[in-house]
Amino acid sequence: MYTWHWEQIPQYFPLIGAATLRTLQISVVSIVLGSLLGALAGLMRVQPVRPIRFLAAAYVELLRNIPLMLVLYLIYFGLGAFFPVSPFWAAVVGLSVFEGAYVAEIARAGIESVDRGQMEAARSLGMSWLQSMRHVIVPQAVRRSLPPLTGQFVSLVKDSSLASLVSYEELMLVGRQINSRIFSPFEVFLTIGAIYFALCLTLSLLSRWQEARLARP
Amino acid sequence: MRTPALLAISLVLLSGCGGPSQSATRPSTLDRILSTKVLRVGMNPGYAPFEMVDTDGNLIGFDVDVAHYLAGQMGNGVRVEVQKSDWDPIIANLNAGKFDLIISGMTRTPQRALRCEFTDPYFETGQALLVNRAKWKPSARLTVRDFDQPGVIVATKLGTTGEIAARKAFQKATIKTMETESDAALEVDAGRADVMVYDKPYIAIRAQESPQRTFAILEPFTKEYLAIAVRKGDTELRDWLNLTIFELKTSGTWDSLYQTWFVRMPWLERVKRPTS
Repeated sequence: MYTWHWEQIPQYFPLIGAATLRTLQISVVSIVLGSLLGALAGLMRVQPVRPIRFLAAAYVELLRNIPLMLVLYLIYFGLGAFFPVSPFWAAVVGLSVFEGAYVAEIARAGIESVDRGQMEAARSLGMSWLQSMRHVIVPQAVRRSLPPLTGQFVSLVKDSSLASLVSYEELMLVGRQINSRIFSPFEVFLTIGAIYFALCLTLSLLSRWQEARLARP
Repeated sequence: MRTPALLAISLVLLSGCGGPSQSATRPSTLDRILSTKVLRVGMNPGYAPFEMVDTDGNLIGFDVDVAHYLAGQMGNGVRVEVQKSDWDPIIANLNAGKFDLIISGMTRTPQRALRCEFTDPYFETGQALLVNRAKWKPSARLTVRDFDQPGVIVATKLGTTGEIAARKAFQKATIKTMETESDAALEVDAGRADVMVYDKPYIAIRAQESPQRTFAILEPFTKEYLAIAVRKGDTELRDWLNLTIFELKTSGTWDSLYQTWFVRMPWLERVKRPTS
């Protein structure tokens, strides 16, 4: 029989609160950096110069075909052997580089979903490739990419739990530390799970609201 | 696959209640070990020299030898079957019946004893320190208290008595919990932590391996007793283990095991080691 010990949890609220903030912190920073990196790589994949296209494709394929845990280990333990890497930066760089590869694919799909004729029309009006991208293609692509991007951001918040493996004290690691003290896995991990759920649901709702706003003419 | 599994389950159920020699209660774990001739031991490898993987992939170590000694004392051709487990769920796995007992360098603590039962200790040890040489100068006067300062980073392994001892001993220093003991030692090696708190035998070996970058303070600042864990209510098995541990210690076997794993250490060549 499992004996519940919910009364053990409240004493750890300050620790859990601080850990939630740290999860938010690496998630937000990685979402911003990962999006920038992904947008850049996505654009590189559709622009006309072949070597640059190849470079971006190599980045995307490499990162999409190895586990995130391995990326984090390479950065923290691997690069960490040559110069100091803090758990925070290992987590942020790992998450950003990893998520950037997925965002790049979403960005590319968004851009390619805009009818080719629009680029040709813009070019024939005398716009440069960059101008056509900026004023005609990208605004439409962004709107179409929002739903898959949201899914990606939600994944990133959940993936941030892997930062526990490089000793960054986010929610998951603090949950495991608490569990190793009170041995109540259900109580601890259900609490942690509820926080992840709330964070991710909020993110989904926010972006749905943003989608509706952008969809207005 | 379904039929044999069902068959096996019903056979187990039948043998549990039908046999004339069986009492009305469930057969004890000790009876089950003797009748199946398999002693299932839970271990968390990576804790040299108690349980570790050699270059051929075999599990070796002090605890592995203790397990074989126990099986030998049971006789009847009982053999050891080691089940690997992660560290933080190892007691949960014991209670879920994945193995019969835990021999994994486990310190007995009152908190753990709420979840399982412990035998008498088979090994006495304590927490020691592995220190980064670039940050601290070796000195006979250096003690655990000197490291409790703001800015000092203390590495240890998540969920171990090392973590408990570190949290007790350090109020001002920052504690960093790592996945494995070798990750924690690597933190000190690479200078990402000042000091590592962990069991004395492990610290002694790590300091020998990396003498240029680390040194050890081996005088233990806690006393700890390693014991075998069994499920709650397995008193018959526990009593038998207590008696056999007494035999192990008094028959000279313990001393020869200690010589092999902690003094002469011929196993060092059989184990994968990072060159440092």
